[in-house]
Amino acid sequence: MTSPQLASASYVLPWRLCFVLVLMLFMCSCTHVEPWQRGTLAKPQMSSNPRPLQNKLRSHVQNSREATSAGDVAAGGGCGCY
Amino acid sequence: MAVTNSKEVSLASLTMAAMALPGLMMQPVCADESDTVSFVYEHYQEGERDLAGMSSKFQPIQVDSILGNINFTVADDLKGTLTVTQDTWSGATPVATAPSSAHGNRLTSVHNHVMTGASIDDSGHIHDPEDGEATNPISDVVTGASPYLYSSLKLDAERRPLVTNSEGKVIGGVDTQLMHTLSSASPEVRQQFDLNISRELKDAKVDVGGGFSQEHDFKSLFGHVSGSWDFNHKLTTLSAGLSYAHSNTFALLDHDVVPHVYEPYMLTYERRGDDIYNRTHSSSQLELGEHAPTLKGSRDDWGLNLGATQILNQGALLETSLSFTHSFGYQANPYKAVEVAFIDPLKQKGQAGGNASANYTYDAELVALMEQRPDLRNQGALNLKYIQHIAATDAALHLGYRYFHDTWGIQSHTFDVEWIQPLGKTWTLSPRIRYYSQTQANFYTPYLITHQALYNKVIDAEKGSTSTPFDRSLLPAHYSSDARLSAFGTLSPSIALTKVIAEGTNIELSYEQMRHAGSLKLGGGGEGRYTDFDAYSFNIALNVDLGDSHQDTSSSNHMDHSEHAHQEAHHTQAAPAGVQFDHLLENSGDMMLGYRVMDSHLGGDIQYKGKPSSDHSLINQACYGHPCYVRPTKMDMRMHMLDIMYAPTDWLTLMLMPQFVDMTMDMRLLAESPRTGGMDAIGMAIMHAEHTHTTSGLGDTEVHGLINLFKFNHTKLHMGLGLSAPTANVDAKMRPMMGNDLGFLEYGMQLGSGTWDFKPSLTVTGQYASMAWGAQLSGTKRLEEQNASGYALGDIVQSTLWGSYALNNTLSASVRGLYSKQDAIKGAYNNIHVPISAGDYPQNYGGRFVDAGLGLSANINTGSLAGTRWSLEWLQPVSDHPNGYQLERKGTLVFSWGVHL
Repeated sequence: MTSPQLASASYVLPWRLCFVLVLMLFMCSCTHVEPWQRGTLAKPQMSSNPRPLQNKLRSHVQNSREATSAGDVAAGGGCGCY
Repeated sequence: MAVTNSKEVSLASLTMAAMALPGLMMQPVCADESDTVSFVYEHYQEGERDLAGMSSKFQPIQVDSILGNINFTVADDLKGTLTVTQDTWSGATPVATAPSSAHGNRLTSVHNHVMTGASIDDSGHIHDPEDGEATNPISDVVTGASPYLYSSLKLDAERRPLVTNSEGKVIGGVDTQLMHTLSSASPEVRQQFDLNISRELKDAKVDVGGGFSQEHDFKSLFGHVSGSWDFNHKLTTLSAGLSYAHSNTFALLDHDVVPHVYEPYMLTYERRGDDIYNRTHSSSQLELGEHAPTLKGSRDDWGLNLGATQILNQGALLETSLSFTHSFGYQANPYKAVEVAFIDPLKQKGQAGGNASANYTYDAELVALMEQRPDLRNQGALNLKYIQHIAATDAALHLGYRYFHDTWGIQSHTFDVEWIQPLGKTWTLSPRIRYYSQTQANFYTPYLITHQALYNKVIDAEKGSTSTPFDRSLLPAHYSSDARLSAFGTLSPSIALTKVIAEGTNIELSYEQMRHAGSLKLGGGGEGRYTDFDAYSFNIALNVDLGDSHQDTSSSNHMDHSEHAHQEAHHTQAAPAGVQFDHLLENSGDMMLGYRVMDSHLGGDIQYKGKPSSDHSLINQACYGHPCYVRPTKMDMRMHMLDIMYAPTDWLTLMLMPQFVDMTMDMRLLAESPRTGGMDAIGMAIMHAEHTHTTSGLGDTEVHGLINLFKFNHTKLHMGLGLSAPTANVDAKMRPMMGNDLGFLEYGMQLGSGTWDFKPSLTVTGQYASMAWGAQLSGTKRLEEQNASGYALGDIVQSTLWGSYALNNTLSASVRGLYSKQDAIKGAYNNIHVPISAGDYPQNYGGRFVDAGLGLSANINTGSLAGTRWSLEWLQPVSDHPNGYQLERKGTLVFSWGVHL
């Protein structure tokens, strides 16, 4: 029995290793920042998630249109069956 | 400055080792989180799918979402977050995919056919295999492309589909055009509730949370525990989290689709659900429910999340996380199917059957089977985020990357670039672009071909002729045509604008445009153009700072609102929750934010002139010259309102009031109704009435100006001039059935008035010691003769009188009387409308109504929520005099919340 399937791509293990290495490189380049020097880091634009609630709504819609955003599926959300 | 001392070196290596572990995103520098309340509204809209020139009568997918969130402080080191979300999905969705020659989206519809032995003759008569008698033909109705899942396909020797006309005659070469078969489901409303509590410890934080999500076909319960630890003078943060969700699917299968999808068909018409589906499935079962075949499934999801954040220097930080999810159970979409072309070796008349002159080789029967996905799915994702401060413009550049891989064979990459640019002191502009690419699942296939018959007739000496279904082992174990599992890429540029109004209070607007295309896949090889679509979404949020838990008045010049509100609370008792426009803001420059939700419930009898009506009198009288066939049994209406008030002067307060409305209605057949169904529009509308009707979306938007007329001690008189803008849709329609457009839903299910309305009011309030009182006269005058759908709601006059008593510094109780008079609807629907119930007739609307209200209010003066006001009121119907036949009102619950900014 045949079916008109597209060939699926294979994934490359070295990708992950690359990233861990890059991360380790980053670690070596960090400097010590005193608490009084952290003003810039505390600015709202430096916040990791500047718009948490809008992102929550948007990612729910995105999860329903893509197959892989649901890495946080255990955090709840609907079935996105549409 | 490089890391020098030995302690820091060992910490750094610990960090490096920790980096090999998974991690969660956590802020190393915690901004002082004060209490906030937020409201967000989002609208998402897709464009039409490519149906190769054919247009579908179905609307593309759209989603309306509202979210309310409150961050509150329980104690010094204990904070909580409560989030309530509601979203409504509506529009056309692909059911399956087939070559265009299968004509999945047809102009004509309605062929009642059977799949296991009966046949349809040329004139559309059905011959049952047993008795051979022809049944009545079904008339065709032309209303636009509708789903047609049972079909035929002609293929060449290489099993490629050939271009055929709608009668199945080969008219061309290989058909390379694939097409989605679209169908439309009723609007779906989903609600989600999340609660999270976090505890701050020295250099650490622990979070515990949970919640649930519910929609009519899916319920989910979830919880999580996570913790984060700061190291290295808080330059490094490590975090770990565990989450779990248990979900149940309860899907009523689409009545338009059921006769055409194999498993529900076999369950419904041949009662063979067990051997066709149930015996081979453990996490889901097909059952014949009261109204429709139902698919029940359950699943469990476990998640582990590990993260690390590292401050690199004064202006940069790096975040990384690794997450694993283990999902087990029913993960398929009950509304999606895969078309399977059955090439029965015994029925080939083409070249495969030795006919040299036939211009095709195989003649296949195309049947839709429910999609099958593996029960097990393990997923892993790696997230990286780099944030760099750009000193030149004081901007921040956010670069994100996410890699995903799972056991379904899907790999994806997400690239995210955002530039957050502050402009001046109060504005921020953030352009952003996101690129996403995924490979297809290893069981994804647009459709399947198999060399076997759909059924095999077996002649048994004892049982006579029986049919056995096809051999499933000849098909792949798992298959899905869901485009979300196909290979594609998306590109979404977006822009966001934030305006700070006061400290911690801001408004955010954002707009995103999205293109989903197979050609956008990284490395090429994505799915064809037929799955491409565009979408846009916009989003508006209001975040309000409620102030710190520590009341520090020395830090700012103006009074912080907790003190301000304390004064207010002492001096003014506000009106019960259900009364609007009851007070002005005291001082020029004041601002106030309020949220109100009104939940009305109707049920019980249908009343006429104050008396309940029997089914018999409803049939004969409630539909004015026509019979009534069904009646509503219960109705629930919820209106969410946001009050944004601003006083430019001390005698004028302006108010903006956007609204969000949702309604549900259940109906039933009237006893001895002259009709219970049928294949024409009225019959289908009657059958449709068995399902719950839902409408949900943005309501009308009101603008009011409240003008102070008279103020003496505590007695105040003011008038209001308001205008209601028709921002709500008034064209909600019944879901089409078998290609029939069933027209508008009844008038009471529309979300707004559809007309510009003038809303004047006159209010007087007074207070003496612990008692307060008030009276209000208000009205609604429609400024147009008819709305876009051809009718106008009746004008309204309301008068209300209330008294309240302060029980203590915080609580007060109120009693109220309310009289309302509304005229009947003028005009009537100007397009297709199939009236089957009293609510379909304009004359039945309006009337005179009296309610009694009982309320409780709390003004919080201390703690983190100081300055907020919480009220609840129950409105009990006392006397109803509807103009015609109306469902009895059972009561309204009003909750309102307000805060001075």
